[in-house]
This record gives sequence, C-alpha cells and structure tokens, in this order.
Amino acid sequence: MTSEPDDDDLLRRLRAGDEAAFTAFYRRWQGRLFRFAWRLSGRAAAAEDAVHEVFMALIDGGLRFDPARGPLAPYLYGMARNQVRRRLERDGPASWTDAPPEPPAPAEEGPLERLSRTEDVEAVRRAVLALPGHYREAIVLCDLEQLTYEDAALALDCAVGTVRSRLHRGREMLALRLRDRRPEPFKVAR
Amino acid sequence: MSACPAYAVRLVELARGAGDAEAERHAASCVGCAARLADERALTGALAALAGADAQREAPPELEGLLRARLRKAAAPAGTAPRLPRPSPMVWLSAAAVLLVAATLAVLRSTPAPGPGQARLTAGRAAAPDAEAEFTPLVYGEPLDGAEALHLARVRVPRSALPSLGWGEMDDGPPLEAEVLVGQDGLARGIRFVSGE
Repeated sequence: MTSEPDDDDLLRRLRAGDEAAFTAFYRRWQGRLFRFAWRLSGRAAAAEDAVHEVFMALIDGGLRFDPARGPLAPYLYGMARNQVRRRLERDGPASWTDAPPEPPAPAEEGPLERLSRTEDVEAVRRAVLALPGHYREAIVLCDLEQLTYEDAALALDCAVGTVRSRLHRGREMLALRLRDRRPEPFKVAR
Repeated sequence: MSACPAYAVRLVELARGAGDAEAERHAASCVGCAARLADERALTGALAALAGADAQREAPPELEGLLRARLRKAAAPAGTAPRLPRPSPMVWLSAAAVLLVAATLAVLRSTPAPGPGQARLTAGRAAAPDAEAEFTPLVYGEPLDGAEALHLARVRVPRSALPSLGWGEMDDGPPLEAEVLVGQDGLARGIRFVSGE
C-alpha cells in the first residue's frame, strides 16, 4: 500500500524539476487557490492569473517557503491573496463578471426548490463579495476555505485576534445583508 | 432583543462548530441569545451551501499544460532552452542614463525601497509585465542587493524604447509601468516592470 506524498516531499522534488511531482502538487492545490481567488475577486480571469503566478513562482524558484516558519497552506493562500489585491487595485473593486456554477442538486429536489436554493446561494455569494475586503478575506479563509484562525492570520499577515474580530464583524454584516433579503432566519442578527 | 454582550463572541464560535456547553445552556434560557445563535447557525449553513456549490470550480484545464511546459523549459539543461540574450554593458549603461532622467522626474512620488538584501534579482528577465517581476540590475557588474539604501521610483517606459534598453520588440500599446531602484548617487540600479496590458 502506498501513501500520497506530502507537500514537503512534492515541493522538494518539483524544485528539482520533477514534472510528476509538479503535476501532483498542482492538482492538489490549484482548485483551492482558484476558488479562494475567485471568491475574493469575483473574476475568473483574476483567479486564473493568481493560480498562474503562484505556480510560476514555484517554477522560477521565487517561492521562498520555509517549513520552519509555518505551514504551507497559509503561505500559498497569502501569495494568491496578494495577487488578487494587486489585480483589484489595478482593475477596480471586486464584482461578479462571470456566471457562477450551478450548485449540485439533490436528486429529490423539485424545480421550485432548486430555484430557491440557487437564489439563496447566489445571494450569499454576492453578499460575501460586497463585504469590505478585510472582512471578505476573513470569511472566505475561515468559513469557506476552513482555515484555522492561526493559518488565516499567517495568510493575511496579521494577528489571530484581528482575524477573529474581522470574521465576527464580517458575519454580522453578512447577516444584515441577508436578513433584508430573507426575513427568516436572519431576523435577529444582533 | 439583543444577545448578551458576554456571549456574543461565544455564540458565533458555537455556531461555527466549537464546543461550548455553557454557552449553549445559556442560549437555551435566553431569548436574545437563542435568536442570535439561530441566526449564526443559519449563516454558517448558508456559507456551507456556498462552499459546496463552488466545490468543483477549478482553474481552466489548459493552465496545467501551460505550467508543465514552463517547468520543462525551466528544468532543461543550459543551452537546450532558448534564452533571451543578455544585453551588453553599454546597453545597460545607456538604459541607466535614460531611466535616471525618468526616475528623477518621478522622485517626488518615490516610496521607500525594499531594505538591503530584500530586492529580488533576476538577470536577463523578459519584459513581460508582471507585478511579481524581480528587479533586473541596470548598472552592469554591480550587485543590487548590497547594503546601499535605495529609493523606489515608478516610471512609465514607452514600448518603443524597449529595444534600446536591451529587450525585444513589443507590440504597440500604452507605456509600461516600471519601478526603478535609485541609489544614493542618483543612478538607477535596477528595474522591474509592474504592469502592462
């Protein structure tokens, strides 16, 4: 029985030009980084650019990850986040410019239920994107990407307490936005 | 009715899955906190639905092929991959003179440069606009990452000037934005292109 190589092993091999290691590493991370950048920017092109730049840094040796200074995930998310921020500074605020994917539907779901669920997901997506950047980053990292506060703090280059307070404030703002759209169960968001 | 201030943060964490039996017991006996907890749980569920809806979203498949090709090219032994010719020292000196003028004009907008040793170097890098591009040394033979204090100035370089600076021809278009590291003697030390298309 063989186990999957860990990230450190893949990184070491791909830095030596091992294409199989690069492919495994890419397939392990590209989706997470793409979704993260896409949720931050609302633009598939910006997300694609962010993934491209992160992996180009790997190829060119510009990725200076040091395992002694922290785990890999926040490092990669931090790089992707910096790419998105530059892109937003250049192209303007985050906004959805391409159609989101259709969420997977449960087999027993009827057309009206599906419409309602799709609308709900869309409303949440837009509400997240409408948040100010700091709060959006905290919610995307902690609530959508499921990073710990510690890893999110490394990715955002701030204190753990800052992540926690941004997340709580962001959720408060999110609940307010969604409550206006759907009175239940967001009617008491204080 | 509002949630009790002492429980507000704990209710959020409870709704996000943290174990807090005491906060849960309190919410069961407090109308305001019960409503807040229901609200936070609904929000957690809505965010989970969003995460699930996007779970299959990935980078375009062609990106993997493009990056693998770049890896093969980067890993190829020296001499087997086409490389950009390194401009001669005279070209760099000319470039330094041109950029010095531009940098001087832009010095009022200058910002502190990366500290000594922080400027990242790559010799002979192509002029593809790239916010992550590393600085290319301009004064030939002098290392960029010495102990010298540098200033950073942003300039705009006409594309038509790129061949004379040692890079290849580029299509017509607006000037490229570049950042120039200027030494204490006023001479440009390095350049990187930060935006373009």
